[in-house]
Amino acid sequence: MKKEKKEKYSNYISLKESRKIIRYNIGQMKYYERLKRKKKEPSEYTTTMHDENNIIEVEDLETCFFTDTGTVQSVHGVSFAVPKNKVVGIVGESGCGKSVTSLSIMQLVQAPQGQVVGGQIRFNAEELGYDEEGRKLCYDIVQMPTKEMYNIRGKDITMIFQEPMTSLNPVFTIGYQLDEVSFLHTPDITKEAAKAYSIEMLKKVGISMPEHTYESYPHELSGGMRQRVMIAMALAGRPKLIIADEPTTALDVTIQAQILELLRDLQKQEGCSIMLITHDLGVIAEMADEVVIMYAGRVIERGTVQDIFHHPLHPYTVGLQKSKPLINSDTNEPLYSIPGQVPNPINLPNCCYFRNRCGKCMEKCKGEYPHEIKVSETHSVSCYLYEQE
Amino acid sequence: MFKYIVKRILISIIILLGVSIIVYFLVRLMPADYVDIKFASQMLNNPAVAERIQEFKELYGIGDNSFLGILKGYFSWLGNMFRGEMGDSFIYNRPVEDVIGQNMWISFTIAIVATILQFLISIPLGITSATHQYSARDYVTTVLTMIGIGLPSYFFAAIAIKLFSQSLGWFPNSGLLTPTATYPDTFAGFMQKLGDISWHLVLPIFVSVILSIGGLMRYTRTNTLEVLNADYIRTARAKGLSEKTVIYKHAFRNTLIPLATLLAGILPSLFGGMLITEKVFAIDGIGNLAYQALRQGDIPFIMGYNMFLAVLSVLGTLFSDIMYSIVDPRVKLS
Amino acid sequence: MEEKENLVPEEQPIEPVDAVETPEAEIADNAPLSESEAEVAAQEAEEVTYKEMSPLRLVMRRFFRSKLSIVGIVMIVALFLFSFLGPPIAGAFTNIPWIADAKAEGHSLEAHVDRSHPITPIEDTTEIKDDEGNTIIVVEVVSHEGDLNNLADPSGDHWLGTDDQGMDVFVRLMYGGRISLLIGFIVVILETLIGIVIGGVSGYFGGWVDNVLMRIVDIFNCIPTLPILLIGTAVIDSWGLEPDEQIYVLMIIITLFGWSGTARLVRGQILGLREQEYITATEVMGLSTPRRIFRHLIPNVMPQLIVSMTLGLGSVILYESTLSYLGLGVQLPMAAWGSMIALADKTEILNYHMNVWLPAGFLIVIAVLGFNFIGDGLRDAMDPKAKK
Repeated sequence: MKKEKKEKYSNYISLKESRKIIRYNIGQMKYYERLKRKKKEPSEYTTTMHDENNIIEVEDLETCFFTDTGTVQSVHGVSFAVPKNKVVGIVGESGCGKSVTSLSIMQLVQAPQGQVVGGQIRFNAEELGYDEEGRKLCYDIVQMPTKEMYNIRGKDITMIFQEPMTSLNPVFTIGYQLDEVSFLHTPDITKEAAKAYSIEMLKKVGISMPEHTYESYPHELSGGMRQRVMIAMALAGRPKLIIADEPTTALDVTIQAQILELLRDLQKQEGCSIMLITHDLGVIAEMADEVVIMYAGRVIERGTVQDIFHHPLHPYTVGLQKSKPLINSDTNEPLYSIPGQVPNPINLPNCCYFRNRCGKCMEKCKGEYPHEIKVSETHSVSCYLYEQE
Repeated sequence: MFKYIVKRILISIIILLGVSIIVYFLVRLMPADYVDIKFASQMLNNPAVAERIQEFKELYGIGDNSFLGILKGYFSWLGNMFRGEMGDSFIYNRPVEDVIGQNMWISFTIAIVATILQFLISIPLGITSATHQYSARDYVTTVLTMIGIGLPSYFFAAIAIKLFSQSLGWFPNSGLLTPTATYPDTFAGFMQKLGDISWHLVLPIFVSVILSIGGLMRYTRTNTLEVLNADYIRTARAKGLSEKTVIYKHAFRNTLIPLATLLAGILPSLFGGMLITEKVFAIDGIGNLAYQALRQGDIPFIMGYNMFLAVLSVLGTLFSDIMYSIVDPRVKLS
Repeated sequence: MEEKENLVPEEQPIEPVDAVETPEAEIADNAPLSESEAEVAAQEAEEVTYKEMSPLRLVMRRFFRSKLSIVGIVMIVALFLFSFLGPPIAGAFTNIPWIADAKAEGHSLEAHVDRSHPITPIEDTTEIKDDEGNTIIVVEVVSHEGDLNNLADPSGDHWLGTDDQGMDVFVRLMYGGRISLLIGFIVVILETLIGIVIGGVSGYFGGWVDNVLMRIVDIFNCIPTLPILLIGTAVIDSWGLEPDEQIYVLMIIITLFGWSGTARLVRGQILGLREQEYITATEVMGLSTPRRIFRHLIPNVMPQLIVSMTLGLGSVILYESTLSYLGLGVQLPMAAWGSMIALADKTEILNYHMNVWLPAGFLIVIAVLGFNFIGDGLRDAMDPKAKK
């Protein structure tokens, strides 16, 4: 990759440009870091839900990374909602901003380079009541100071990460790491009660010898077991929303199915919502109620599973469907793949990013980025193809 | 575990043998021959002594400086070693182990107090420096502690003596006891003596600590930075732990793992470095004695001192492996 | 939309750029893209909308991210100029009497003893009256100095005064720097060469070769460095070499007891690299062993080696100066920073002639600090794990 670039030397940043970027970045990072540390009244970060049946509403979210080669707009005006008791799948290629979206919800974007610079993330917290006009009050996570965020992380919103092998602290026992959640969010709990609760959680995620696992260190467990522990940890806070960031990518195929099944069962049992991030359409078909398709930092299409799988609209979505292997197809055709590559996320022009790879590209596509077009009550797409409809 | 330790000890013995051969041959090649130095003045006046000098040398076992002679000397030294004797020091006319045993406590005290202080100061500094990377705090601590690395011990000792002893008169500049003081033979007198000794030790310990915190602090900083980027730190944050808990519980325990290996080098290097410090402050620890021995060609003592340091560093490596297995649950000794 | 505006930093407003004529302008607008800018960008740059960092620039950028790296470079460059350009420049000042003398007598500037001091005994006269009322004049000769202009205070002729032998401190600092830097570089290069060979062979072949070589490394690692250097330098002292020849032997001695760390580093790296797929690939391709070691393995170890070399420079300079301090390193009349500090052992010089010993110490600190800063910066810059 690097070698190939060497040939077009003219494409390298000059020293002058580099300095300019750095100066700009430092200014921006300082500014946003200060914003996060600023003391705020609760009223400054509470707002109202658009629909109180949603657990979370993301609107026009903008997350940037200030890198040495320029500002990377990882999440570019993303809007979607997760209804209560539903599983919403977020699909996209790697680098399309799906992980960054989830980290933005948790306020865990790698600071100071990564910053949420705009938009709203409305989290429907139960403890907040209604305002005088009867609208449900909620927190705006974008505006929330880090200190307040500690009360939401791990309790109301929890997260399961992609790499179970490295996501558990190697020097603490599983028990210690599980108990920590209880101690944190139920301050008056006794040691014994915390242990009992942790073991109950381990049982719940299908670990056969919970007492033994409780005493073990992470390196003594297999990948699947560790991911179960991660799920137990995510459940321990009795969350309203679990964000699962590619929870099965690093696991064996057989284990994958088990973990997904477990997640689905637990979601039903506990009555929480799941935001499932994956690049695997199969997982989505099996798990999700609603689907959000992302491409290069933008939502290009969203709808219910039926909408997306039976009536895919955006050429990218159609391409994704076609590139899925089918077991019962008898043709010997090679698998379809979408031509071209994902664009580099620095300095993206304000037009459809997919147009270079799109078979249905029109003259209009060179214009500004298409707005979201509602096709039905549940289904919307950002593509000029459907402008008239 | 037991098998592991036995194997390590066997390897250590081979290493120590190698060390002793190299050191012995070099020492024998040294120009400062004890007998020559001792009788230098007498030789000038009395030619009869000059004739007997070879006889004296034979007596000390350093007469034959050919390769075979040195080899013979080495094996007789080695034979003594296996009998648990390190030979008699030429200067002190007493067994080397007695001389070392008697004088090592003061060196040990300085080394241990300095090590503890070093850890207490540099680890917190390293962590805050890492958590505030590229901030003013980071730069200030880094520069100050790095100056410590760059300071030659004798130079810093000279500054400390000039400043705290000569100009300000706060601390004595040499020795362990005030020469004029007397201490009654009571408990109070003993405490008084102890106080006086500690008073004399302030500057040497201060110098040792300032010189050594830089390295440890840098090491802590680099490791903390690495640990803070780990996935499990993100998990800890996602749990809702406060930044303080994340850093001082989850990150700190992992930072300790590589620090444990560092323990191995610290004690021997502190002892080696104290040779200079003890010389400058005229403290009769084994470092200063070794320096005198080097100057006068006291072969048994030099051998004893070097082997003492070599054993310390072998033990240090073993100790750090054991520490490693304690701090990191993933490591099993085998 | 209102909130978005609030988020724009006040002190660093994003300049509205209306054209993309200058490349900087294009970069400046890559932050939150406003509609109009992006439109222009889209028309101008249909294909390539971003620029890359060249690999060299990437390393440079990471290196200079820490301001200490810059400080380190400045320190070392200044030191080099001072040590290597200083003496010729000083030699050009022939209007300074002692430099003119040195030239006339054909002495090296570092070893020239200034004998221009007028013979004036420093006397202290006190008058005491005894019991009978006689006045007794006591003339106390504090120091009787000959023509030797020693321990002079800083002046126009001797910028930092002279030492106890009457040699110019400032000029000796320059020559001391030459020696320290020279010894530092040569020793570190020799150590690295030995380390690459021993560590490379050990790591590449493994098995009993590795076992034997590593035990040897362990032995050298266990020998206490400072004492053995003292013994070693005492031995070469007895060979009766000229001071400038002795320096070369000194370098060899320091190298001999310093290479083990590098060997261990190289071995560790090579062991790790051997597991990598691309090295297995060279084996599959049937490349010869030396070619694989020197073309594929060693270049991959170089970044770590360069870092350890830079950091090693500092410690070699410290060892050299310590030996000189103890009178076992660089011999008089050659100048060395360590032996200049050794003068402070005399209480008189320690207390009243700080110009003699203090500057040498500061130069050692600057040298070691400078190399450490650069080494740290290089480590950050060359770390393959580091993020962009």
